[in-house]
Amino acid sequence: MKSIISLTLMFTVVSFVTKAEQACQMNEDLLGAHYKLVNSQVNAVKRKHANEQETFKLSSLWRMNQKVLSVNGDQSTTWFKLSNDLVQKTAHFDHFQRSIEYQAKSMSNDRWQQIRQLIPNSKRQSLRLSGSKFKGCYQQELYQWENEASNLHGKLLWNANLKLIIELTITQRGRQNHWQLEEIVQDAKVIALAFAKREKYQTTDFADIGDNESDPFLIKMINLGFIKHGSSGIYNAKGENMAIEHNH
Amino acid sequence: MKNFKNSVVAIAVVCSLAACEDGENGAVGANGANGKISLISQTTLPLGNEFCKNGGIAVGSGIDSNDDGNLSNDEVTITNYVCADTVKTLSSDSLATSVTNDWFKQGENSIKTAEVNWQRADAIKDLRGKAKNVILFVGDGMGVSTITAARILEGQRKGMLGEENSLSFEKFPFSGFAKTYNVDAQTPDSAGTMTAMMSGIKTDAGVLGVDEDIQRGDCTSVTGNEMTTALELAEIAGKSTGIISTARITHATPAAAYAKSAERNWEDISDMPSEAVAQGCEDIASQLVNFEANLEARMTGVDVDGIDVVMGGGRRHFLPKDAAFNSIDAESEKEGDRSDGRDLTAEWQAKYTDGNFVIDQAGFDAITPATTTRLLGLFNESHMRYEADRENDVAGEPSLSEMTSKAIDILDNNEKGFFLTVESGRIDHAHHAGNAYNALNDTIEFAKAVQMAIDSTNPEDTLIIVTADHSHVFTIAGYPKRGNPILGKVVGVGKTEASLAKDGMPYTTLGYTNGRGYQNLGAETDADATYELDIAAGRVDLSNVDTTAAGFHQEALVPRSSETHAGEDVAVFASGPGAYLVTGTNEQSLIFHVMNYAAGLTVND
Repeated sequence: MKSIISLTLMFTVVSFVTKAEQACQMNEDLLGAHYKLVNSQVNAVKRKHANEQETFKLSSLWRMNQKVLSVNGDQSTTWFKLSNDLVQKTAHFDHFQRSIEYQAKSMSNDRWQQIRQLIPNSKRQSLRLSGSKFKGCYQQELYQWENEASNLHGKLLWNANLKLIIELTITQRGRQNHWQLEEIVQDAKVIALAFAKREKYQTTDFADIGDNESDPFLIKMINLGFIKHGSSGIYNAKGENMAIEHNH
Repeated sequence: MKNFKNSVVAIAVVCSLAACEDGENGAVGANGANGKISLISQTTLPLGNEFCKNGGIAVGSGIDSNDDGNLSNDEVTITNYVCADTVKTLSSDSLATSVTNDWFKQGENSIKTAEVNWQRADAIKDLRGKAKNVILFVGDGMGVSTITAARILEGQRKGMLGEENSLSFEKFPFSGFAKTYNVDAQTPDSAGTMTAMMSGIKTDAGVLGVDEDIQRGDCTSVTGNEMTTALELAEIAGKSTGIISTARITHATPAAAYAKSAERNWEDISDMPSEAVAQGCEDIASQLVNFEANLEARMTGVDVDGIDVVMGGGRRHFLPKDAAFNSIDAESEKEGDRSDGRDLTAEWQAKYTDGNFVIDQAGFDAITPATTTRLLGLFNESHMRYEADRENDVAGEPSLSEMTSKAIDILDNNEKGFFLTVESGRIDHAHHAGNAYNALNDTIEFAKAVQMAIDSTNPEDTLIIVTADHSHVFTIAGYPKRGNPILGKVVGVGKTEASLAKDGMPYTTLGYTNGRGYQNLGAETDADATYELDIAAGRVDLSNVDTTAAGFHQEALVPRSSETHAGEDVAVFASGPGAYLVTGTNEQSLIFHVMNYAAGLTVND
């Protein structure tokens, strides 16, 4: 069933964000965004047992100039865009306080925007803009889309100034994945700390993993595999990719 | 076999003795009849005779019973045979089909070459010290299957079928095998194996320049267990010394030439536990810069001038973790990793004011070997690029062959000679990533570097050894026809379509026993791109996949995040004075002793 939530309702739900934004001092290049991820069944019968069906997860996105930190549970990834536009990735394993460094690679703008904004501009702009409104200092846009063939419905509330997802809901065949912005962090010290604490982790070059069979952390990683989904882009509370299918 | 049947010549002498009584002699009796004569006859036997396959003579004997003076066949009672010897050698005419065959001629030429080589070796009555220069080439992870596959790929790139090609070092006159195991490991790592080659002893996995009494990771166990390396002995002998690697210069293989460490991963101080730092252990990068002082402190009375040529990757371990120290070649926010604030590149330049420090291709190209006395080249923040990926480097990097050539041109300015070790470090990394293309391509570049060394030195005074530290689980399988693309899918003899496995899908000649498995990354020249993708071990339908592309990663059986080393022996190739000491199957540590003996680095009481 197509689920439509009005712009008015959404703006009410995220009013706390508006308060934070009213200072009008937020900078899209220096912020932290905490999200709550919820997976749930949306049909009436299952909803009675929502506690059994829902999955919650906290995630956060941090930006500090040309650096982006994506935190997903105890795994996180830092991306740094070099002056020559190469992007260097470092995967962090917070529980072990260890990091794996990857070689800097060239990256498309779409891919960089997906990391930095969770959704590239080209993808967002292909969605149907169903409303736009200034709230405080910032323009908020509501996008909606549906794909009847795959029984998929989606809506995105977007902060156009901060280039930040406020709310994202994708419903398909009774399953709903929902991203909800819980808090925006403006404190530069807190933001810097999020990056700095991971810089102190012991690092291993990806190419050296095979030569370090005696390292307990690397053995675990070799046997279990490295971070997969959830390091960038939009994924659900189980770490699975959330495909934004839609009709053009 | 000669078959003699000795005849018994029967001569019958009839003598009757009558009893005599005393009295007058009787009348002379009548002459008796003549006795029969025994004769022998000789008959030449043709080839193929029943009794003599190669011909010969039949010797008949018997009584000439009819007294005709001839021994007829019916008078022969015994026949002996003197057979012609079997054919021991054949004329060229008889061997026409063999001697005109190209493979046959090639083999005969190889024997002539070997004969000359051994005559030369035998002519040197006292080999000790005859090698003025020593160059040790190490292909990291370059097992025998890697050499074979690289040989074929290089040949096919030349337009040959491929299999008949030889890499430069495969033409060396002497070769043998090295057993690679570490003291505590059946399948070894580079730290233990390179320590064996550089120090002449086998030791544990993961440790550098120390013997097996070490406790890996225990700083306090280093003291008293340090070994002296061939490079250090060459320094003490007054020779020039050099180290080249396409890996970080602080990585295990190059570091085994100069460092003493309980842990190969202590590449800079930020990699070390604070306890080890407090106990006085020095990180590997610092040991490289302080090599001269450290050696002089360890060896009483020694006066050395430090390592003359150092080239490789690994700037991160020499620079502070501070963006202010980033080079133009930086590939991360803060290029340096050092947490102690030291800039070792500055320390090196202050220590060696006559030295040249370079970080890129332009700086490398500007070096004039004839006037350069000392060179430190750190061309990448981490490992240098794969040869196929070099063009993607930000500031440009020299190739292994370029570095080798330039290093020799600098080092050979010393009339006392030089010691140089050259590592192709990324063969190993490509295998770990399950990417045969880069492993083989870097092996071919490695062979080119060896050729540069051959061309730049005199075989009469330069010992060149080429080997690997260990192998990989890399296989050449199936029954592909001759000349089948080595990176391709198996196409059987006489066939034009790919062979199918029991699962109905084609398969590649090259593969891995374990690792990350299949990826089809097209033209991607960085083998490590696969680390950002999911593991995909097991079978994949390759029907529409170009398996010869740089970005193709071979299938693997056992899923792992990284393909592993293998434990079989590796090949050792040698040329120059003392090269003939490389023969048979030996412990890997023998390589040090060959270099030591040939160059006379230590006095043998």
